[in-house]
Amino acid sequence: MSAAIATGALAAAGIYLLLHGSLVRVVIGFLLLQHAVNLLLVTARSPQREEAPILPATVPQDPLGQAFVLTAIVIGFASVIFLLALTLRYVREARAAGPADRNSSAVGDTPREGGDHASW
Amino acid sequence: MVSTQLLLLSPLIAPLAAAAFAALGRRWNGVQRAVTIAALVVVIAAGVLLVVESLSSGVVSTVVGGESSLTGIALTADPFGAALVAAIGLLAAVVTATMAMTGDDHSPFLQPLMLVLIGGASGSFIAGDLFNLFVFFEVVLIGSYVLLVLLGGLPRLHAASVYVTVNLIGTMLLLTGIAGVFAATGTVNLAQLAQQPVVESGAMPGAVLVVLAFTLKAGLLPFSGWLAVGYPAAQRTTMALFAGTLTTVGVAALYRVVLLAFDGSAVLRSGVLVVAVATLLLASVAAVAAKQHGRVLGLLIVTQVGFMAAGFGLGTVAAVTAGVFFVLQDVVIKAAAILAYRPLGDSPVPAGGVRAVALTGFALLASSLVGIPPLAGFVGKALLVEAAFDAGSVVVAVAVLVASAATLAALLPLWWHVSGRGDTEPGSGTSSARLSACVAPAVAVAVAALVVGIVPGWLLTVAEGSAEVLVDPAAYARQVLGS
Repeated sequence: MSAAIATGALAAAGIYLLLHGSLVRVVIGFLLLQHAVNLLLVTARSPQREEAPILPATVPQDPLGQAFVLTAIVIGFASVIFLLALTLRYVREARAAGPADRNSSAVGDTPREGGDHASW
Repeated sequence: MVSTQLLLLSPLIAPLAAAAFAALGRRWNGVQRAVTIAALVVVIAAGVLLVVESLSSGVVSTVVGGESSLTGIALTADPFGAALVAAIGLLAAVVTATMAMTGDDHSPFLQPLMLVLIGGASGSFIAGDLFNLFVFFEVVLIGSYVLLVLLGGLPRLHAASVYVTVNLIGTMLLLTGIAGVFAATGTVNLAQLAQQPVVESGAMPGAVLVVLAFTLKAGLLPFSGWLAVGYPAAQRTTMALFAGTLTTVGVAALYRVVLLAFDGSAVLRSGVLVVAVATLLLASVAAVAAKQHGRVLGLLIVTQVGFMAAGFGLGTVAAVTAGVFFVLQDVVIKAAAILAYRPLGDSPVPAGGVRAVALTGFALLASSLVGIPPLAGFVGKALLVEAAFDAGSVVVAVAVLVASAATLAALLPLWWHVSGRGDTEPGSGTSSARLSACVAPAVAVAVAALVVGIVPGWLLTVAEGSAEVLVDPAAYARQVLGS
């Protein structure tokens, strides 16, 4: 029950933050959402499993859920680091480009390779 | 069964190990190229061997790092997945050849990242359970995030932030879905899932989320916005690589998960079919309306995904055969079309023999995308339309035909753009030598497309063998779990 409430609260806060345009909020929102999903994964137990998979157990337990969360945390961690690096670089380049360019890049969704091909 | 294990592991380990070596040897371009080529040869050879093996003696499967499928990592190669491994290897070889011949591989991390992408993609094609599918998906995606922003620049960073955010939301959906499936059934192994009826076991909500996540990553309609923004922002060779790999990985996951793990559930299939038809119609019309050529190509990639998904949405053997055939030829041809278009379209090229050959190559590849006989794309689409009529879905058949016509209409401005600008004075724009280096691999693919279109028999055999496995989840489960 408490896990369900925590998952819901984390997911709600995460999605709320994701809906904001700012990249920093997106990163934080993604972090919260990530934790919501991790909580879901660890509480999603297989029907055959009765107790936590800690030895010595009376019957061999299914450690799959724990393995999932561990992997998901690692992958989420890598994604967050990439997002933070992306945010940092974005902010730096936007500052270097100045306010005019920043506005134009936010409106136009047609990134260009540079050079003379105007129609690209 | 050491040899089976080695065969299944080599398309994963070779590119990932080569990525590490290529990153270490980033100061020596020659070393990088040699390592990359060696890894791609291994991937293609393993893919071909797996296709032969799985066609002759059933699904090849193994469990790595554990005694049972419960604790180990299950790898299974059905003919479809195996053929995709070979196709993705071929695609990477074409991209690598283009990079090597033009010297575009000067960025020291380009080749290692490409290898990570290929390793993750082939892993996702032969992953035996849902969770490993997710892990390999993330490997592909993290490689693609970095490739997209490798060159920097504000517009590219902007496109990347959209791309990354959308894909992270997809990842969260996928994980939630996997948690739901796992909670209901107690397993994420595709073969074990195939043995359980998806509705009765209560796995349906999770299954819907998983399918939704793969739909997003494949770039099907409600979620395709990120693709048309993200892809054109990439470098030329990177865009071709993305076009061939990323959507294919999503579509292949849809095929294997819906048809095998969720035993071809009619609800899921018809859901995907509706989305595929909507994608076909709207993306192709949007491509006609789009002005920037990068966007046109991006939207055409989305349209191609619609063709791929329509095949398995119908679910009959003939339709799945058509879909598999379409996917296999499209992986390489779509990427080659982009490789051929960009040097012609980006800057003026001098008139002459090289330009004529390049234009012919692009025309052939574009015709294959449209589906003009006798090219490979025509065979796939003809099979698809025939299967749709046989299955009684006139709507799907009409959508395929309309989308093909719209593809032609969308490609015509691109053709006029590249064919109508030859009259520049020599010395300006791209030189003939550089042009020939840029398009030679793509022209080779164009010739291959022609050959496959005229002699489609062998590829059709692979597609038929794949479809037989894909439409029979019970037999798949027996072959995987029995071994």
